[in-house]
Amino acid sequence: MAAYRILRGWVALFLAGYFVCGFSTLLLPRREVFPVSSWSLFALVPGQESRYALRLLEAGGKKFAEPVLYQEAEGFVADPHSVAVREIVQQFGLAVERGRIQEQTRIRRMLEEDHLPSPCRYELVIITYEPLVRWRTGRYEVRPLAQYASPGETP
Amino acid sequence: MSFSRGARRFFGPFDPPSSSRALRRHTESFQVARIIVRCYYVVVLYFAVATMHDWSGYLDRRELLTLWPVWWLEAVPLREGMLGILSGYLVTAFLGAIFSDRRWVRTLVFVGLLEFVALDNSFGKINHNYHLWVLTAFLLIFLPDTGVRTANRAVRQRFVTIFWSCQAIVLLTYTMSGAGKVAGAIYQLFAGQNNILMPTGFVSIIANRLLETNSSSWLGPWLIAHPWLGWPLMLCSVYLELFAFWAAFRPALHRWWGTGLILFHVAVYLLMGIAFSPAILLVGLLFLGSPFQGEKRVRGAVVNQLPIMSWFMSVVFRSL
Repeated sequence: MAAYRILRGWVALFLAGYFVCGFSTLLLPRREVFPVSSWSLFALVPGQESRYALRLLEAGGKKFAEPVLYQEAEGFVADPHSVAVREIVQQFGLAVERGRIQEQTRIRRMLEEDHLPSPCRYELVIITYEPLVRWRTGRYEVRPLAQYASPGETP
Repeated sequence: MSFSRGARRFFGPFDPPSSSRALRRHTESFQVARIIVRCYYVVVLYFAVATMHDWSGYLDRRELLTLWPVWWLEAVPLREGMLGILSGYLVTAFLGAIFSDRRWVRTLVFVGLLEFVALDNSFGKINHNYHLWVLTAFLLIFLPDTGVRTANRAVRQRFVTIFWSCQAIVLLTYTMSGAGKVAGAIYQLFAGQNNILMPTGFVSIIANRLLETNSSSWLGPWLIAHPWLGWPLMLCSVYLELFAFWAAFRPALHRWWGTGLILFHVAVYLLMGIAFSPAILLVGLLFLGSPFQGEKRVRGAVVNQLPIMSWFMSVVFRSL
């Protein structure tokens, strides 16, 4: 019986620990220490959103008349609807704005080797929009941050 | 002491069974839990085999943003390291499906799964598909090693407690998700922002999700055009998530909560295009055939044990 009580105590401690540690990860930049997570998924309703995004200027030797959002570059990139790319681009944008050179280089290599066509010229931008307005009208604002050319050049 | 007693009373079942019935139920629960654990490890093997289809995709990758369990990949040739993780996952899963009653094998399965899931999440985005499998595989390490005939009462007790802890951690994660949404709603309400309690809250989340990846879903665009219909859906899902942990302590609710959570994931897929299939499978395994829910007497108590609703109904009936 004593062993069973101890086991129950450990289980309670594990559950309480996961709860506390899970919510504590919200204080960290990635908001998660795998496999501990706050599970705060879609906790906030988006208002005026500002997101980093990539726009292709040139892909596989073809120059675009207008820059094309990565998500709209059907036929030029392997998976324009990739959630992973959306996430990597957010990390890339943060690294660029905070001037973390090593992290930038690493993320850029990942983007160019695994997700972008080669050769390719692209720009990092911030797009600002209100989700329901953009959904209904397609309207959003763009602020360019930097231009790059793959593989590994900054024009 | 009084706190622990109070907590026990709060979380405890409303209808403690008599001791002879409790013993019989206990033995039945142990046997059902054993079968579910065996199925659990067969499913892990299924995942590992299904992953083989993607091996070449993993091995072609040349850059990682490594999570801590696979930090050592930075010190070895990447392709060989990844091949080691993938083949190790397959071998340990295979062992687990055959020898799931041995602790050292269950430990290996946990390590194999942890390494694989960490690798899978080291390409820039952490998705939560297999988190619950990793957490439960960790807890299952602590099952007592035993045969069905040699298990005495203490061993059976330990077995079902560990099994219950797996159910509890799964439900706890849903409660954390619900609590996050409620906290977010309160914050946005006081900040004067759109929030999930407002009719356009849920559809804004859907629209943003679909816009971010320029993707579509079966019902998302339709719901965005009819935002009022999304409002009750959001409230139901917050209720289901927030009180999931409550259901862990009420066996009568296990099957119903499992069904509700599966429907919740199906709805999320239809509206936002996010498939959470491994979590659905785990919820199904642990709750649809929950070993703690077996008697007709308990089944009748479902409504009485629903949080808030039972209180609301008792007030209504008392006033009649």
